[in-house]
Amino acid sequence: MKRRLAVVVATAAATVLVASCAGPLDPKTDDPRTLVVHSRFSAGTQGADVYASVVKQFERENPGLHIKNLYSGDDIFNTFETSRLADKESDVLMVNLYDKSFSWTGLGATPPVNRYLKNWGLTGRVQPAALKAWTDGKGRLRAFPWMGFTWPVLVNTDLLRKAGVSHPPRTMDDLMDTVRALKAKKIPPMTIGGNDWSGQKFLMQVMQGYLRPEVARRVFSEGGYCAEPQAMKGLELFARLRDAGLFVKGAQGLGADQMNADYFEQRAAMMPALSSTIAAVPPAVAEHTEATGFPSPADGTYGKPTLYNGMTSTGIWVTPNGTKKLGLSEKFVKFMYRKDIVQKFIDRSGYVMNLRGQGPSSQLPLVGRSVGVSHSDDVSEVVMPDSYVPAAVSTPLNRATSIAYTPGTSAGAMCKALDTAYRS
Amino acid sequence: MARHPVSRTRRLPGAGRIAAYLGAWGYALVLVLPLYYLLVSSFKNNDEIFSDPLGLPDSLSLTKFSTSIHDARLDLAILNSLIVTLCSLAVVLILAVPASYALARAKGRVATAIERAFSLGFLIPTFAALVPTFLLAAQLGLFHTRTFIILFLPATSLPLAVVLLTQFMRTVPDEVEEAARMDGAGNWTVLIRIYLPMVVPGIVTVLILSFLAFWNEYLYSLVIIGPDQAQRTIQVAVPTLRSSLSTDFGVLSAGTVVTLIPVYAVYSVLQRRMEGALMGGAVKL
Repeated sequence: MKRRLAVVVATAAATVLVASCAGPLDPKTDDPRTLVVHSRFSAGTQGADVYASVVKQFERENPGLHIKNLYSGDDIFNTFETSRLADKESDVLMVNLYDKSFSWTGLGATPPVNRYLKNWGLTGRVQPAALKAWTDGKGRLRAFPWMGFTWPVLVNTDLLRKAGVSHPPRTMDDLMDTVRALKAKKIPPMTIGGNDWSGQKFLMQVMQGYLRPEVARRVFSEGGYCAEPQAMKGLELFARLRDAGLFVKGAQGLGADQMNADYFEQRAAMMPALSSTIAAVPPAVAEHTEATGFPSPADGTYGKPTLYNGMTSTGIWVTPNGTKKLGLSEKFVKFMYRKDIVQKFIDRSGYVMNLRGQGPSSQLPLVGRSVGVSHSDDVSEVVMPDSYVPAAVSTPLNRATSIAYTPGTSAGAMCKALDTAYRS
Repeated sequence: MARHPVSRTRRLPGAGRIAAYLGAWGYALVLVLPLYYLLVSSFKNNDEIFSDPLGLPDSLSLTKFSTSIHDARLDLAILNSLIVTLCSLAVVLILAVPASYALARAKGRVATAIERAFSLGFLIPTFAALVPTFLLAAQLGLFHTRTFIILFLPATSLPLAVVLLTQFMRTVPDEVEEAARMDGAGNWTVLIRIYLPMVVPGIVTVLILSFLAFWNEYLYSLVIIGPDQAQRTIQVAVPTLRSSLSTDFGVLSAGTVVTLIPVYAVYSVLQRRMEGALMGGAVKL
């Protein structure tokens, strides 16, 4: 009897398993009235809650239409490429212009959207600088520009005051004085993820203190740091600042998350902060935080403190499959471009958007202040390396960065590591 | 009663014995420390993790676990992983057991060649098979489905399963099979009634090793099954809790702990069988 029961249970379990092998567990499958959107907005990431709520709003406003969301983290570039090769990619992709995605339109993996932007009446909605940033050398608009970013330096004025410094440093002499004062009070001056992208961007920013923009664009594209005197001078400046104690101890081993934790917990007085990070600064710290640029050398290229501004954060890509559902894709893009929808992302997530006529964030005042400063006359904008560094070089370049943050490393050793990244 | 002086000195731990104990405990600590770190991190926020990595958490709230399950839909992902793993294990057994039986009983050169051909499977590096496997999935129209992975994973495990089970089956005495055949048993009866019960430890070993490999498989599941929450496995779902811009490491740790629970459950249930099989095998083979 027991044996018979076991056989019945085993057979039932096997039947359920075999039946479930075939189809997805989630009953929502693709159909002509379903738009498949692939993004990084998985729950828990910044802005995911706003995205989830606007998707629901879209479905409410368009009865019968459905959005199926696919989420990938940092694997999104690879996942999209393999899906595309199998002709099973999502209809719309929301990802930034970085690394591999630079080549997609040129390779035919994604269609240019110039005519859609025009036909759907969205041309005037986008900031001209964003259109330029998203257009390739052959005039093809790769995707609909959507989100941008700012990247100023955040300064904890409370910690500065404790060290007897009354205002954020604006010149290199100011900065050296500030570093000395903070160190005397045992306050680490600046935290940085010396082992990842955050450290790599900051190294390039400091180096640009002596790099003219056209030279910066060339070396970022082709390498040759050791052979470029302006780059060497910039790297020597970086080495001087590092050895004077600008960075927290062990910066060469830190990542962006540790950098954020240091600043959020007031264990360091300054950090370079991407706009998405600025939105996450705890309100108590945000109250006495100022956003500013990083001081430039007096004999350098820029007379003012510098920072990065960018237009190449998340864009809305229509894929070849998306062009087969053009009506749906159009509805979705127009909806995501709508003023009230965009403002929701700005207000509640602190996003910096590439679209015209939007107000500052009502719920995240520090983000609003940092956007104001980042586009003011008080600062100069340096060249964003990501727009020029070849896709294959990005990761090796991040690895090379760690060497630069290791105390005692000479400018010669730094430039060799950077040049090696271009040959890997 | 007088005690024997030698037995008394034996009870005293010598320096070598103390060193051995310390070494064993030290090694155990090294193994347990990462698990401890993972577990305590599941109850902390980023600041606590970075400032005091090994310290105890302030609270034992399960929020991070519920967030990880909700955010990455680990509930669906665990179900998907169970379907993929159990179906693949069934395919492995259905293919490997008869093949091993035939190879164990066959005496000719052809059988030897086939057995060696199975061993060649160990030489194929995972990455080398990725592109052809992807192309095959696309051609078959099975890209972005669990079905293809269920058919593919057993292929990665079959060499080990067949080689291992063949050796176990060779330990079954010929006389037992002969007696069964004299009673009128056919090939399938001999396999199911005689061999299977006698090679259970071998089957358990194959099941545990294959389970670990299938449950933890990432690369092919990522490429072939893809990002759809409805189909993706747990190993593909958990990394979505990580972002290069910012990560809640507490939530990520909790998600990782959730993926480990089935592995520990299966291993703790079947480990004695496997250890017994390996020890028994060591004597028999």
